[in-house]
Amino acid sequence: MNPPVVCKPARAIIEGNPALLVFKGAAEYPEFSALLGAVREQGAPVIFAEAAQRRLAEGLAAARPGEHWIDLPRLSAFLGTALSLLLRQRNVQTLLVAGGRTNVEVHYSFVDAHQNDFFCRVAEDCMAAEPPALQEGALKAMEYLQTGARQTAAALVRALKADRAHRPNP
Amino acid sequence: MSTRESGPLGKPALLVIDVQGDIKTPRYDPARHFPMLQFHEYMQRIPPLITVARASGIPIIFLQEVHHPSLIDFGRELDGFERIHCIEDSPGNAIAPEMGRRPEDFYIRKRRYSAFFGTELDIYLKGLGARSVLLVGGFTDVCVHYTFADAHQRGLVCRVVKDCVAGSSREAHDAALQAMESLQPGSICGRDELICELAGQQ
Repeated sequence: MNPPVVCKPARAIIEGNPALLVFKGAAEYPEFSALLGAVREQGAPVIFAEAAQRRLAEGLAAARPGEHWIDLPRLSAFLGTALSLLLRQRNVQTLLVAGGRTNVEVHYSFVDAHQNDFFCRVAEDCMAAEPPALQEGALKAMEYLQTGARQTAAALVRALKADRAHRPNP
Repeated sequence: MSTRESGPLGKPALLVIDVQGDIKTPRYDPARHFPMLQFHEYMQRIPPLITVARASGIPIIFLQEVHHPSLIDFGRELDGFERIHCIEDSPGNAIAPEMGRRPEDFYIRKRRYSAFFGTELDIYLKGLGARSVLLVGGFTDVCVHYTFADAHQRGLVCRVVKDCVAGSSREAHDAALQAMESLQPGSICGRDELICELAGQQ
């Protein structure tokens, strides 16, 4: 009657290939630029998610050619967008997240990434909850879903660099 | 039924989420601090609400999390705090008999946390003309919260019955209620208050 006993595998911070999902406001955190730089250095996909109106108003300055913009019609970056297809097409297994409201866009995008079988890690020093009192609850909820979900930008940069060292040349 | 549509809930559907196994015996595990201590008490408060909903003509939709015995459909669910759970057709995974499920009730099996993920729930709600969902069951911080988030993002009015949901821990339960209230102000209510509202709308 008892379910089979299975040992949980230890997971790396970066499992398979990473991508970075960037929400509004990420650039306001000083820790963010090193993270973006490390992801770009690895040639991993970068996806900027924002409401279309804001994008038009502010221009496309942050994205480079080959990087992606997705309109955010709801809260989760997976809802009503091509994100899931895009990640599969680029053979991504681990989604890194920075910017946005921890308890809203980040948490619900994390849940959808999780339910779509992606590994997901958030740079908790590059996001804030609204209201701020909900920050810890949202981070704990994500850590409940995936051990290792909570990271700092610096820890993600270290993991990306270590990961890159183990890869064959592209 | 027709007058119901004029109330703030429009046409609601009652979602009974993952009320499975024995709900009479406390299942709190002090070693894991899981789930919250009063889990079984909160689950036992659900049947009277189902009775009232039924009498008010509100459709009841039972959601049951299931996983294949081969474990192939767990996705990332074993990469965090949770252990193997809800193996389909195992006796401990049956919908609790106290819920009084009837053949005419809607019944959906799901393999993820959100009741919307990979299920027919959207189609049922559309067919029912439901514009709001009443949520009871467990866990507050997982299946209830993430079903709520999906319902909210689909434009549905949500009510979470705070004394008919229970969480993976008291702390996570409270945090999830706060998060849902923040997402859709006014969405958290008590059972008896909701029963009065439903009676008043009739």
